[in-house]
Amino acid sequence: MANELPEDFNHSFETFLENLQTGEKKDVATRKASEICLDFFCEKLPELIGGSADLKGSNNTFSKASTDLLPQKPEGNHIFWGVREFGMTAMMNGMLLHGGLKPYGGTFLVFMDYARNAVRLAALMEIPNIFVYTHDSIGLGEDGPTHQPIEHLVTLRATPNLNNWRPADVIETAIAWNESILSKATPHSLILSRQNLPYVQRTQEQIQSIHKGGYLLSKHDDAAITLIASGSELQLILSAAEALAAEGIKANIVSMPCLDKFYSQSESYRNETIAPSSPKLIVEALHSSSWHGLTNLNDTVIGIDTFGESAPASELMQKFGFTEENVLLEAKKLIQK
Amino acid sequence: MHKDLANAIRFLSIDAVQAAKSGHPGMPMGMADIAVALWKYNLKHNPSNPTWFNRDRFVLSNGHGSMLLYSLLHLTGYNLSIEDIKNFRQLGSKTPGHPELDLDIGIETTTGPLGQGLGNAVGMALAEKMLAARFNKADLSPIDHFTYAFLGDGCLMEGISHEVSSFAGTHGLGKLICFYDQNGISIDGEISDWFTDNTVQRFESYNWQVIEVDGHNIEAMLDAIAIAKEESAKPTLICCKTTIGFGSPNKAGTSGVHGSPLGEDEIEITRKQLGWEHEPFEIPEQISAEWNNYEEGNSSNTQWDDLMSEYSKVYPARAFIAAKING
Repeated sequence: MANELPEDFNHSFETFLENLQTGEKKDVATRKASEICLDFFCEKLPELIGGSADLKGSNNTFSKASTDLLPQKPEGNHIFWGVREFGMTAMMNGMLLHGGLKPYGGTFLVFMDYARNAVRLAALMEIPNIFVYTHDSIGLGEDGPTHQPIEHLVTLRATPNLNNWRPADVIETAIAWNESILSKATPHSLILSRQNLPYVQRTQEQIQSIHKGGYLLSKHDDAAITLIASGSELQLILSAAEALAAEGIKANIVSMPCLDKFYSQSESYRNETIAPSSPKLIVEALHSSSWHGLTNLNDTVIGIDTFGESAPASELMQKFGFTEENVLLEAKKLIQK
Repeated sequence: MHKDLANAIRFLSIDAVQAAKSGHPGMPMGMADIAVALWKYNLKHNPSNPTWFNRDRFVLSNGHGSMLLYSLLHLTGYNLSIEDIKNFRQLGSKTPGHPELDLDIGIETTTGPLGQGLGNAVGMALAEKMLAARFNKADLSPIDHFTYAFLGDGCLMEGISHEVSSFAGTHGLGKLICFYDQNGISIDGEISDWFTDNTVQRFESYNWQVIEVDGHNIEAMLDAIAIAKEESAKPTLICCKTTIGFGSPNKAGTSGVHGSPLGEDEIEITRKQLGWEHEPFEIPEQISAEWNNYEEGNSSNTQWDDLMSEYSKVYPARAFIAAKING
C-alpha cells in the first residue's frame, strides 16, 4: 500500500509543536507527554492503531481519538492485547505487513524482554513498527527490581536498524513520535518515564536539531566539560551545569534522546556536538554500557549496573547516585583529572 | 496429476537441499500434498502483481521448510527462477535458509523463530477484519481475503502460539485458516516424550474450529478447507497427520530427515519410490503449466480492480482509502 501521509501532515505537526511551546509548561511524565502527542497523531491518522498489553492506563496509549476495538466492534482503533507482550508484538508485525494500518503497542520497558524476538524481527524485516515502553528506569519506584529495567536499553540499542528514543520532555516526545511515524524502514521504540519531568527551554535551532538524536543545549568554546544525558536525567545535568557556572566553570550540555540516530550523523556533526577532546560525563539511569562508544577511558558514566530495589523513586534515585550533588561531584573529579 | 504436483515440490526441495549440502527436506516432503490442496485449489494470489492488496496472505510459520515456499513461488510463476532455487542458502541469493520478507517474490514475512509466523498470521487476519469493518459496504466489499498459515509441532510448543491463538479465538477471526503439520517429530526425535498436548481440545478451548485429516489425502483436505471457509465466526485449525520426509524409503518418519540432506543414495531410491524420473531441478513442462497461476491470478486481480473503481465512484468520501490501498 502507498502508506502516504495526508498532504497537510507536516504543516499540522509544525502547528502542534508550536502550540506545545506556547502552551502551559507544567511538569509532565513523558508517558503522559506521549498521550498528548497521540491526541494529535491519532486524530490526524485514522490508520494509526493503538494498543497495550493490559496496561492501557499506565502506558498512556489511549488518546482522545481512540475507541475500544472489541471482538464485536472491529471498527475501534485501540486494541486490548491482554497480558501477551510477545504475541502483541508479533501480531503488530503481522498487521503492519498486511498493510493499510499502522500499529503502536505498549508495555513496561522491563517486559520488552518477553517480546524481544519479535522486536528483533521487525528490525530485521525493516518494517516501521512503533513500540511504546513506559516505566523506563528505577524511577518507577515501589514495584521494585522485577519491574525496573536495567539492561534493556542496551539490548535495544545493540539491535541493528532499531531507533530508540528516550525523550526528556514533551517537545522531545513529540519529535520522537513524529520520527516514528515518518519512518519507512526502521522500527522505533519510545522509552518513557513514569515520573513527572520538567519542560526544557530551547531555541528554535535546538528544536530543529532534536531529530538528529543528540544536540547541544548549551555551548561554550572554552567549556571544561561536556555533560550528556537522556530522558529523566537531563534535568540533573541542567542543574549541575548551573551550579558549575556559579563557580565559574563552563559546561557544554548535550541532550541525547536517541543515541542510535546520533551515531548515524556525520562525523563533523558528532564532533561539533561532543568535542572529542573534552572530558565527558554521561548520566542515564540504565546500564552504563550503552555509552562506551562515546567515552574515553577517563570519562565517567553515571549509570546503574546492578538490579534496583523496591522503594519510593526519590529514595532510589538518591541511593543510586542520580542526584544533582553526585553529578556535580563526579563532574568536578573529571575536570580535575 | 496431484501426485506429480506434490512431487515437483518434493524434488525441488530435495535437490536444492542436496546442492546446498544444508537445509530441511523433511517438512517440504511431508507438507507437499497439503500445499497442493491449498496453493493449487484455494489460494488467491497473483504472481505478476505480488502486492495486490486483496490477495490471500500465506505465512510459513515453520520457516525451516523454506524450500516448500520457494518451490511454490517458483512453480506458480513468481520472479524466482530455477537458478534462484539452485542458489538456495548461498550468499546474496533470493533463497536464504529461512524465508526473509520479500513482497516482490511473494514472501509475506520473515519466519524461522517458531510460532512467530502464527503471530504474524493472526495480525494479518485481524488487520483484514479491521479494514473490512472500516471500508466494506453492503453492496461492495473490497477487503475480503483469507490468511493461511502452515505450522509445525515446534510452532505449537512455543509459548507464543498460546498467546496469539487465544487472541484469535476471542476475536473470532474466521478468515484465519491454519494447517498443522502433525508429523510427531521434532529435532530431538519423536515428540511423545516432550509434547503430548491434546491439540484438538486445546484449540477448541480457544474457540477455534478444529478439523482432523490425513495430510496426504488431497480430497479430504479440500473438503476440510471448504468447511474452514464456511465458518466465519471462528478461526480453523486443520490438523494434518503427515509423515515427515514422505517418500524416503529409509528416512521417512524419522528426525534424520528434518534438517539434513537426504544424500545421493537415498535420493536415488526416493526417486524410484515416488516414481519421479526427472533429472535434478528438471520440472516437466506439463507440470509447470499446471502449477502456473499467472492467468488465474491476473483474472482475480482484474475483477478486484473493477470492483475498486466502482467502489471509488459510489463512495467518493472513501476514495483516499482506495488510493492508499491501491498504491
